[in-house]
Amino acid sequence: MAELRNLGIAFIVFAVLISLSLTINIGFKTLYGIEDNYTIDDKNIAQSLNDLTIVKRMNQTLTGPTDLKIPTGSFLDVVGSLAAAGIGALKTIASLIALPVEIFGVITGFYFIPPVFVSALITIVVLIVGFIIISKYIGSDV
Amino acid sequence: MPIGISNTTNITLQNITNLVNITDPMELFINVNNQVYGGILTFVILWILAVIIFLALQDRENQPLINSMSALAVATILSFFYRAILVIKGGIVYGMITDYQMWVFPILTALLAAINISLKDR
Repeated sequence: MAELRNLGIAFIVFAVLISLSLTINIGFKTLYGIEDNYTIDDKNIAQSLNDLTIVKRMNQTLTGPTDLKIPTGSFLDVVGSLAAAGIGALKTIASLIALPVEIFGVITGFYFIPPVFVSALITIVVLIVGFIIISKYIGSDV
Repeated sequence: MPIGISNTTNITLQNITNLVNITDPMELFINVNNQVYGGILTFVILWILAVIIFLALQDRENQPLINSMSALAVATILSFFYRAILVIKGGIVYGMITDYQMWVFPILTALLAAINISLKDR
């Protein structure tokens, strides 16, 4: 991992590619009348991946300021909406860290891969984040 | 005792009729895929194609992650095409590829694209 920025862009590219696949999939489902062989909660794997936390939290960030629909004039309205947007942004950043585990969780659910792999991935993510924090604290590479 | 051969099917007129009584050449491929190979032939062929493209790209430039992404991208396009080809026989819908098999290629391509970008220097 060169920079955290690259990681963020990588997840966005992943989301875009999955959305494109989903668009093609929906296209031939509606045009040719093909039905999904297998779904979890009436969603196929691309739809499940599209519902990841990062997408939802971005929506929360966007809807925060637009919640000011009825101007009551209260100071708390403004603060509350800004706080909602801020929490949404924080959750977006936090979901960047949790995203690999989420993606892996969806894939393992679809392909019946044993959950031991998910816990292994969580361990790896925790170790990497831990080392990054320790490196920042010490000021040199660990 | 034959080694490596199990669940063999006797050649009967009915079996051959089921296989080759077709109205379209693509139907023969789907029959062979489902009745002889249990529905994994197309999947295996797509993987072999991806490996061949990968090796061809490796000859030009040694960058395994990017080359495997490109090879799987080609397999992704073909897998979407194959998913749309269906045959209805005796009320049962047979396809060239199932959802499980199809989604392997786009998801691996997207994951490899994410890995490639996250590993870039700038």
